[in-house]
Amino acid sequence: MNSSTQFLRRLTAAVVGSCAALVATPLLAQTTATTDPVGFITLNVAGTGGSGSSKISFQGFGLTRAVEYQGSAETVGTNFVVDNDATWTDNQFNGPAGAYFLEIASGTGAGTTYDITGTVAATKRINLAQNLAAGVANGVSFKIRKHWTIAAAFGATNSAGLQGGDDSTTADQLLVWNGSGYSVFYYQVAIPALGGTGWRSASDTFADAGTQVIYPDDGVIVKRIASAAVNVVLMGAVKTGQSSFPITPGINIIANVYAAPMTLASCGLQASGITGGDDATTADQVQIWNGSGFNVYYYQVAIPALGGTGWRSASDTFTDAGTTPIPVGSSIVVKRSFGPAFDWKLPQHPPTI
Amino acid sequence: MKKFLTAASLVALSVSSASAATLVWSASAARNGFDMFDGTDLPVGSLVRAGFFDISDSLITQNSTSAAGLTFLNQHFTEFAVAHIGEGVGGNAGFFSNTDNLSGATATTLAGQQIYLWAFASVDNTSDALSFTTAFQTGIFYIPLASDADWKFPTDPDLGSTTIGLRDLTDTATSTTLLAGARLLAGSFPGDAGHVSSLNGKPNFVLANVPEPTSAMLLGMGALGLLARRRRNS
Repeated sequence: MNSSTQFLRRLTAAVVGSCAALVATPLLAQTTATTDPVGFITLNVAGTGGSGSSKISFQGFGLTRAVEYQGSAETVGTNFVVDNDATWTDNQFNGPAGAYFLEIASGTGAGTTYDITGTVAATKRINLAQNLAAGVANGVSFKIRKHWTIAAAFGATNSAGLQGGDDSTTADQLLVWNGSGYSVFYYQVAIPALGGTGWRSASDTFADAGTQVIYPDDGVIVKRIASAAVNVVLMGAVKTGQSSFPITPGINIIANVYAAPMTLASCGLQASGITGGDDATTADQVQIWNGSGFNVYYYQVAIPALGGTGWRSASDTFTDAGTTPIPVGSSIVVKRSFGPAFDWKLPQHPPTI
Repeated sequence: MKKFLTAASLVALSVSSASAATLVWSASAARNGFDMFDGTDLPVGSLVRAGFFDISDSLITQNSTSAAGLTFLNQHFTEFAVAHIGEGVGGNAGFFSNTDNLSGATATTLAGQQIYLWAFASVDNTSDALSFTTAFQTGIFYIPLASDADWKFPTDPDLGSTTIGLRDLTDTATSTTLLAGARLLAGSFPGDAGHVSSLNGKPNFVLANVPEPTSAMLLGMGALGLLARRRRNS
């Protein structure tokens, strides 16, 4: 039994008593029951240790939220699916009910995810914000989950124990890459006249940001100003099946979405289309935070005499780096410098559950 | 809303996307804000700029007291971001809170440089250019990055971020005492009863008078290339 399988079985066993609570969200009688294992992971948030003004850690949500519906779509359209067996109610998975997403669970497009904009009872239809991937066909199976939000992950009243403050300069920060920079959030402690207490954006210190969605592939950078480390326990469902996330030109900060570690060799980046090169300046890069800076990796394409082909570190172009871990609960930077956007297809980790 | 790419959209996606450094900056409602000279909270819509001066403190101070001097200062100022009083703070006068991303060559140029805050009280705030040209009071404040390392632009122009606030110039506990290292190149911090925030009662940083610009100066302002006013969505 390999270490990742051992880990997963320990993970599942640790919360066998919590299974009922975690799947308490009602499922429709006509649908199948939740089958994804549930459990918890611990996000280790480093503290400054008394040195420096802040400490960075790259977090990734290695658990999803519980499946609230799963079925098969007898009909798929450009941006909708129809499940003839559905008995959902109007707006059950959108609007005031919260932010939900649909994941394609089989066939072409497996692992792709889409925001839900409409739930229609009469037509048994789910409307999506994005167009379905090319090749998603009638009969595909799908799962519906609620999105992680800041409040759901870290607690509506900051039960995670991050340092709160009266503005962004006196609190731990959550940095989420938005494609062109960071969106910054923190837990504010203030009287109502000064913005009130709760999760806030650094761009709006009065509006509640607890409902800010953290997308499945989002890496979350925690910038902690407190001295002591803090462990954030995340409870949820184990992600099964392939995942598929877009990698766009420039910076991408992507979470390990599995409750098991990946490696550079196993994660599927190279097979999905990352550009290799004969050194780090001619290839896309994977940057993994080491606590004080980045370790930089790339897929080298070279003759053996010049280091050979395979994953390499920018500081050792001859040693295979394919076994470099992408730990549970972490996220990495994929710097796409050469070529257009592509979909990164991550194989399930571990391969069998 | 985040994009989930499909195979069809991948082909059409441009490869020119740029990454960016992030500045989180504020005169937050929690502590010190800005006042006009007469003690009025700096009005909503007033311009605040974050950037780097490539001249000495003494030259900055000398040139902050005239319209021509402001033009000179602008020529020696590389702007990172702009904010407007009232943004991100529930529309309260005297304060703002912003997150700004800067990409490309300017982010690289500014990496590691000292951050300065430059605020204006103006006759007309309908555009950033008019805020500058009709300014009748100004304030330039910073704390040296040697004293507070957060007061430098991110050294990683792709992934870096930094967080600063006007409150960094005052004591941590009460925000009522100016720190020894704080630099007030234009403006003051009297800390008196006449210059406290009407919102939180904390002392505000006060802008200094600038003589009204002449018509000739107004005609020449078009070449300055200030950013057009951005309207923030709520």
